[in-house]
Amino acid sequence: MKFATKLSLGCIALLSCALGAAGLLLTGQSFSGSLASTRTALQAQQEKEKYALERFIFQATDSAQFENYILASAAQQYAEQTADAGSSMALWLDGAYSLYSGLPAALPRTALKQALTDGENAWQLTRAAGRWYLLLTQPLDLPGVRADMLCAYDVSAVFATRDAQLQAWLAASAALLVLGGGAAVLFSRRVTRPLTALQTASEKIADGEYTQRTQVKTDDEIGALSRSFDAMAAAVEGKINELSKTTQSQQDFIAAFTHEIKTPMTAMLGYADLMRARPDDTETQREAAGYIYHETQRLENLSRSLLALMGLDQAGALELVPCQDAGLLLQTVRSLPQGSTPVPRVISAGCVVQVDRSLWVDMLRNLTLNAQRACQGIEGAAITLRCERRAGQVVFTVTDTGCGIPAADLPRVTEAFYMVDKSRSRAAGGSGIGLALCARIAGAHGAKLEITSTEHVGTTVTIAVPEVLPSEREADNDTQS
Amino acid sequence: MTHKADTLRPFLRCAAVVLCSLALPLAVFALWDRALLAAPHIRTDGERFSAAGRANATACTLYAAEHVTKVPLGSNSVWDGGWTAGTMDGSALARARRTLRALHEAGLLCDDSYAAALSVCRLDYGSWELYTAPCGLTQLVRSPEEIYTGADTEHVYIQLILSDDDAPLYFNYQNDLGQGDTLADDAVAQYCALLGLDEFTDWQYPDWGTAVRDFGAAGYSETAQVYAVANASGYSVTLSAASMTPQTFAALNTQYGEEIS
Repeated sequence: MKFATKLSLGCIALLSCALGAAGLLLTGQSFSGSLASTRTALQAQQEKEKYALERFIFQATDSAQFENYILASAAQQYAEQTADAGSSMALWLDGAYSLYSGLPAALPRTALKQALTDGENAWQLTRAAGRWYLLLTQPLDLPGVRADMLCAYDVSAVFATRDAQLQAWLAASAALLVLGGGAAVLFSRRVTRPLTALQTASEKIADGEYTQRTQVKTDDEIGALSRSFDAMAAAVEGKINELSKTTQSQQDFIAAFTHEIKTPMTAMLGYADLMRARPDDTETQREAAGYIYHETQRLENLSRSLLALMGLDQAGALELVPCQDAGLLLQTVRSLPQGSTPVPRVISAGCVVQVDRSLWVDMLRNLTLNAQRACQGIEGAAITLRCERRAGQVVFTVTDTGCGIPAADLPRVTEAFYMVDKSRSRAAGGSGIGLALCARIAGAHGAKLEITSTEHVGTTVTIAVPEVLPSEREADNDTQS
Repeated sequence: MTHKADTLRPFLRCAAVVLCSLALPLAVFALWDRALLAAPHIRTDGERFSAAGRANATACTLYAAEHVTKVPLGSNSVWDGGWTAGTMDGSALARARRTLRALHEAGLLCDDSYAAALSVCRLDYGSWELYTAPCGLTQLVRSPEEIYTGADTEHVYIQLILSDDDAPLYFNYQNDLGQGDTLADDAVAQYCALLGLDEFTDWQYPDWGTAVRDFGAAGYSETAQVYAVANASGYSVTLSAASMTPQTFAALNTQYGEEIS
């Protein structure tokens, strides 16, 4: 059942309880007060009637001898003279003999006897012929005579008023319940509208619409729940997008990798087939073997780079140690292949940085090899490996005056397997993994590869890392060239 | 079916609560009516006149005179209204003699006063007056004549109010010759016994002599609602009884009691 319905039913139940209690309390108080005041007034009235009857009796005789016939006659005359539709009286002698009775015939005799027995110490209510009567007894103050005046007062009006009030209350309560119920339904629907919005949003998100939001802006608990829900939805959307990008990247990587494997494999198969086809052609055999060897080497480089890339992904924390910039640069130069040109110029600043030495040197080596490839065939091309302080950081720069990178290719050069000039790179043994590996190494150190290049002018690759201050240093003083 | 039952259950509960709430006042008033009809209920408007008081003829007569017939019982009662002049006769005179003898025998009238009063109980002196009031009350008044005899009995003034059974509700004897009279200490008790009021055991005797001039002696019974006074001076004896509510007596007691203190 909907929460709004439960809320509505609860409100209606509470409203009905309140109406019931209020009706009982108000009507009860009114009835009780009315009955008490009516009784008090009738008791006072009977007091006057008693005195009046006594005066009547005294006037009926000069002596203090009150014969029965005198009493009866006086009572009848008195009753006739003071006839009142709402009251009637009877005169009883010694509590047993009725000298006069003007009481309604429907009054039960047992009630009359009880009233006489209780005398002036009690009042009694009785019902007869659908009407309510208050029975009051008062003894007459006649010397030597035990006479009682029993009066019956019609108090049906008090009960009729109460019943009318009850009916009015019932009608009013029914109307209030209908109105209140309607208001409760509207109110609970309004209050639970944000919950419906939450439910709708969660259903849409479950269906894949991760951009869905509740947009409930109330300042209560539901508003807080909604804001938390929206934050959760945003986090889920972010994670989904990240996973999608990662999956896409992996798919792109596999596609590119497959393609890169396929190309040399196809060439190797082709040349091997050529060798089988012309076993006697020594020149062809030599040429084919050379191509096969070259492609095999490329595959080996590709495999090594991939391993390095995988190693970065799978590795735990880097082994960060303080390293002198000069040591890093010189180690880079020493790691270059024998006879590779141009030989880079090294400029250090005497800084100490916290890096993983082997990875950092690998990165600088790859950047330097790329620079050498870019300088191939260009007269006077030069490469500079520099390290300098800049704005509180240590900046490593690899600058060449080679062929440069076209502006259109610049944003993609760090993508895995992306090569600006595939034929030239493959001819030089490149796999397209180098810059991707460098960018990953820089990212692992919290830095970023900044590449600027102008075609036919040259390329500058910059990486900035924080400097290790002298108080924190455990420097590596290897400065051998 | 179970789902339908689960869906309907809250509605049924709500409907039950609504019906019970609306029916509650009806049920309560039905029970209330039954309780009202079941048994007699104690009246709390206070007791007017006790049953014992009502059963006593003198107390009842005094109560009726005070509250019902409004007949004054005092020295000026003849002029205050409620009394009807009648004809003095021998039977009334005999009642007067019997009452005087009873007063004398009770020690409320000394020998001299009794003798003087008795001597004027003669119709030929013609100064007796008779009045009647409702409830069998009779008032006899004897005024002194201007003819002096040797016994100076012409200076006797007698006012006597009798109930139907000859209880002296009011007695005043005056003798201009100053034949004084004194009353015993238990005069009020004797007077009450004469009135037939000695059956009541809650008599109290206030002492307001300091606050009220010529106070004499008085007694009050709450059950009988009777205030009785006995007073004697150098030339008169007054005995009176009147109905008085407890509230009135309490107010007088407070007033005169404060004045004494």
